[in-house]
Amino acid sequence: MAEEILVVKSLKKHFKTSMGTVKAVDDVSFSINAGETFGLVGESGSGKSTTAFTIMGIYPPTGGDITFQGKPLIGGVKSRPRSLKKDMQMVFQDPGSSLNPRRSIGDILELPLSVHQLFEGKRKERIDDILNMVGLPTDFVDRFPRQLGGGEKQLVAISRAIATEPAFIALDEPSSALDVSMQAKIINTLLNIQKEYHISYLFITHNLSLMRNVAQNVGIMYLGKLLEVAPSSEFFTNPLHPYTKMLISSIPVITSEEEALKPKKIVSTGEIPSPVNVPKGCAFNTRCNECMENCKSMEPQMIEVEEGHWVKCHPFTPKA
Amino acid sequence: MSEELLKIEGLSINYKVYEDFFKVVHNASFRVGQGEKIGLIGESGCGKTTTMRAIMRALADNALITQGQILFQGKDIIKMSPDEIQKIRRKSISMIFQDPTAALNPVFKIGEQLTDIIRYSSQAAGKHLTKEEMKEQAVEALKNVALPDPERILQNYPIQLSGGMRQRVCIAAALISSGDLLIADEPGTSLDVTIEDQILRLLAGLVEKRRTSIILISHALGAVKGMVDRVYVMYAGSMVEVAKTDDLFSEPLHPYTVDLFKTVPKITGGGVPEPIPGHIPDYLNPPMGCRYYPRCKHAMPICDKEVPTFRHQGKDHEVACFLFEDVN
Repeated sequence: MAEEILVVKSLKKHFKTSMGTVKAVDDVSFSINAGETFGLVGESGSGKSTTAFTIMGIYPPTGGDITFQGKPLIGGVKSRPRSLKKDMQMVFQDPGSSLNPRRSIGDILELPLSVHQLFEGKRKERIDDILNMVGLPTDFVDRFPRQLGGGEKQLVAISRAIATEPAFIALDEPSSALDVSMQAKIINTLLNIQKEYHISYLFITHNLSLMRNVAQNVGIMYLGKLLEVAPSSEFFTNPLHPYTKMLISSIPVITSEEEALKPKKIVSTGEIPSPVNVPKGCAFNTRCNECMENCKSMEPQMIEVEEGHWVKCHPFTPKA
Repeated sequence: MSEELLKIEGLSINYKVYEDFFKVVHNASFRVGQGEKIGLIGESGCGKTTTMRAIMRALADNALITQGQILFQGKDIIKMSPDEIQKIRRKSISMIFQDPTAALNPVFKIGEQLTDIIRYSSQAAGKHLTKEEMKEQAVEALKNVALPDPERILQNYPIQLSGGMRQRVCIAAALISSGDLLIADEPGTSLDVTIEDQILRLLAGLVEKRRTSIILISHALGAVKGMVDRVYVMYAGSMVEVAKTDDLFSEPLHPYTVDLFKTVPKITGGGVPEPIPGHIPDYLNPPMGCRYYPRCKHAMPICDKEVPTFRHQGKDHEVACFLFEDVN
């Protein structure tokens, strides 16, 4: 069994609004092994990004425990030691707004090094190194974000994240805003970096086919709750939760082998309910085609069906 | 071959920029039969949307059509007077845009926006409807796109609806005035995968029922595959390959099509997608010959100098590449 670098236990993040409490993340538990990728999938508004933000400390959690490299993480980013931030980095979805438009690429990449007092006297070389790692020319240091394309900006954001030699990076839809060809380039760069430096990723995306190819374990979120967690090959060959089946059968595919793998067409209906009024019982009961009587009244428990394969659905709950 | 509805011949479009031109669309040709479903694929920045906007005559002010013709039912859209083109927009061709949030006016209720469209399109057809009839039609239009509680939605502002609902409203609006041709410019891209699936199924059903032609533009190659009869592949402003959907996906010929398919991650696993090296050309100084030449694995000396023309490869399969000989 590989060493666990990050363990999240019944993590909760609730927001109070004038319309009621939004349970953006509700009772989410998973763990990430060192050097591996954990994928978090779900439709928009399902709480994937909030989960990542809470782990990074951008939002202080409402409840639950986060353990990183054996040490508990308490509270938000302000109450965490600086040395910890060196080991945990994040890449955001929109590279256009995550890079300071008034700083040159060189300045942007130097900042994490000077904050953590790393590579004293050798920063120029380090910046050249990390630009090389993501496949960007080193003369980019004198350019400004507006002079770069979307994909290049995202590569700069990635090289900023790896500047401090972190052990863990949260990737919040790093390729969703980009073209298919650029997306493939970003993913390849990320995987090469992971292999070389043994970095663990929390990879957030709504692209399931991409997830299949990058993550070792996949968790699926719906309305702030984790519905199924499984090793990614298992996840696609033997999906258990009706929501997972619906998602996989909605993926448009281009080859007949892929078509054969998909579960029988499950017609997707309805939209995600408002997170302020999460349906009673199982959160998915309004769209589920296998909905039973007790799904509407009782919330199912997370059950380990096979080793590493967890599902939150009534038919799999052992009879009490 | 079914009757031709739309035919684009040698279309070139430039964008005026400071002291120069972006030569975006270059000698593009395109054909849509009556009742035919066409897919258009390619990377972003390949001129897909520009070509479609040219059909609607809705190009930006700095765009210039330098050559070619767009024949719609035999008449050249480029030479039409503003009145004629307005008439076509009102009753023959309509377009669904990529971003439903930007396509709806935020300060008018859905009902007002729909009845405006119904009023003008029925006037173009020579009918005059009363207020009640228009409202009835608006309710009917929303029912057609499977929106629950249409009466209430007519009273809503766009901001009160979710993304999927807004896109359905846009589809409803487009279907009101699409007598002959519907252009769907990435209708599902800004939506979630289950919602995208719903929207595309809905579109396919409605198009089938009303026998309109449709041009579907999408990055989601899988979505295109499931829905259309023929696919055009566009690269840097020109069509590089066209074939029946099944032929194209089982046997892509043009190096660009082959590379493009490789970038798509597969749910069967089997490794990380392969990127296409390089980027789309600089439109200020595009390559002289084949525009894919700088990125192509099979580039030959001739590719740099001459622009390849379409070569026939079997039935309805044409490819613009020097690697292939014309078999006809």
